[in-house]
Amino acid sequence: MIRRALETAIAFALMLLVPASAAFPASDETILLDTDSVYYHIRVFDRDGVRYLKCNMHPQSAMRLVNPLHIEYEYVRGMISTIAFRDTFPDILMVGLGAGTLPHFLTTHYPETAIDIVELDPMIVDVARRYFGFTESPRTRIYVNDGRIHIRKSRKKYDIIFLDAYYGDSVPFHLTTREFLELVKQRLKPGGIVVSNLWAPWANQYHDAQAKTYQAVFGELYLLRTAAGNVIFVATADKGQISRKTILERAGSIMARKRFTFDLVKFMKDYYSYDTRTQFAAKVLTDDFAPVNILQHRRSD
Amino acid sequence: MKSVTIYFIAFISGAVVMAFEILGSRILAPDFGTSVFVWGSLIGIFMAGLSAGYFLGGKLSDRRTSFITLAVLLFMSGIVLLLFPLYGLPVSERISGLDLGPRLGPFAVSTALFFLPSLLMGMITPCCTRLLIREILKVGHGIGSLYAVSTLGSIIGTIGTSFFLITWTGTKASLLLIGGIMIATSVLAVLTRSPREQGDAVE
Repeated sequence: MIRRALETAIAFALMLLVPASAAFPASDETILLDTDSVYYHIRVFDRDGVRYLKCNMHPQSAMRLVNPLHIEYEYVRGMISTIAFRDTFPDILMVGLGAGTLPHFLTTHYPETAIDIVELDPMIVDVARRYFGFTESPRTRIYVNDGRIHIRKSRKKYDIIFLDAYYGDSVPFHLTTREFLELVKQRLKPGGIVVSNLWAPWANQYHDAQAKTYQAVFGELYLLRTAAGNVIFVATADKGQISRKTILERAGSIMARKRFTFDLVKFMKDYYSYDTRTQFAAKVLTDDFAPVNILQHRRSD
Repeated sequence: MKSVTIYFIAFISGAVVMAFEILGSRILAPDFGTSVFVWGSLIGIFMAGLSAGYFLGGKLSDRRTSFITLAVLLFMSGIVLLLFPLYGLPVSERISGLDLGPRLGPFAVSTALFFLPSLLMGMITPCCTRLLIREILKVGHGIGSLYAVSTLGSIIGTIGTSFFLITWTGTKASLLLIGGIMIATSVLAVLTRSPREQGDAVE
């Protein structure tokens, strides 16, 4: 009887230790902020000279302290690389701020570019300002709002629209649907592109359904599958494939003119993929039916 | 057995009102997002409607208590749910076009779409209670379980809808399903009444 109680107590204590250990930082990390916003748990910490932002304990952004223009995460490099799909891009929209590493990079290398950023969580904006040096300017404007609501009201048109509102595990379904992508398409200038980041380390049904939804709405689709597990979706409203050759040429001329901290040509060489006609065994996501959270956990057929 | 039917009706209406609330978040998301103000409005308005329904249902059951009363409430709730796909989006779009702001917008649309339906469904519980008391006076069983059964229904409605129903089928089909369930339950209530119940006054 006593042994039973003791066993139960020990098992219980062990159960508590395992999740608790996740909350304790590794010894080489310095935690700068550990708090809850209305939407997420937010943690900012430094490790080995890099400052990290984690939302719901999921890595979101990273910034090298001595050189903020050095892009740490491959998916951010991936999103930046898509500028090779456009000749010029004076107007950019970003849904989802993170730490602001992407807008900082683009406005530094292309000072003539204007970026509008929409972020739902005002605390994320605050964290980006306080810990990652994010600043606003006439050319970098931040709007605190739901991405879809802002896009619907704004009516402004853009050369590139970045969609990265997928924090942690959770995907807001109303930013994945056919109706939303139709709305986004209307906000593109002629020849404009939509770029979105999807975390898909293994083939899952949400990835397939999202690709199918893009195919249903846009003229052309390219899926850049990075080694890290992110897939960068690039879509154009009009038909007309931009060939691998063209992309590599453009990437080459960008690298010749700008001192990027990563190799844009290599990125496109490794990952360019034209997927307008790739068959996906999935259903188009709609406002009526988009069970994205469960689809993320189901392997592709 | 009449009291079993009363428990069943309480269970079903508990489940359906929570299923409707979960579906409400899917309905509002395209026009209002998934902000904390949307969730707060949804939960708040449903609770307001339910409490108003409990009050009005209590008043109604003071004057009329019969399975026909229950049947009417269930049937009207079912019709509201079946018709919802027709008016839900237009109302949502209209109110979102008014640009009332991040708090007032979700609050206004939640009131417009969900207050009256949850009020209607809230009236069912006190009528069930009244009927159950009448049965107990005849049969002699305990009453405490009615609220437990209704709450169990609410739990199943919440978990069942958010965990399963919205992954099986779309919002519109789900609304038609729960509306159909309410209509079917209203038929059950009609069939359960005893012959001398038409126009019965409370004793």
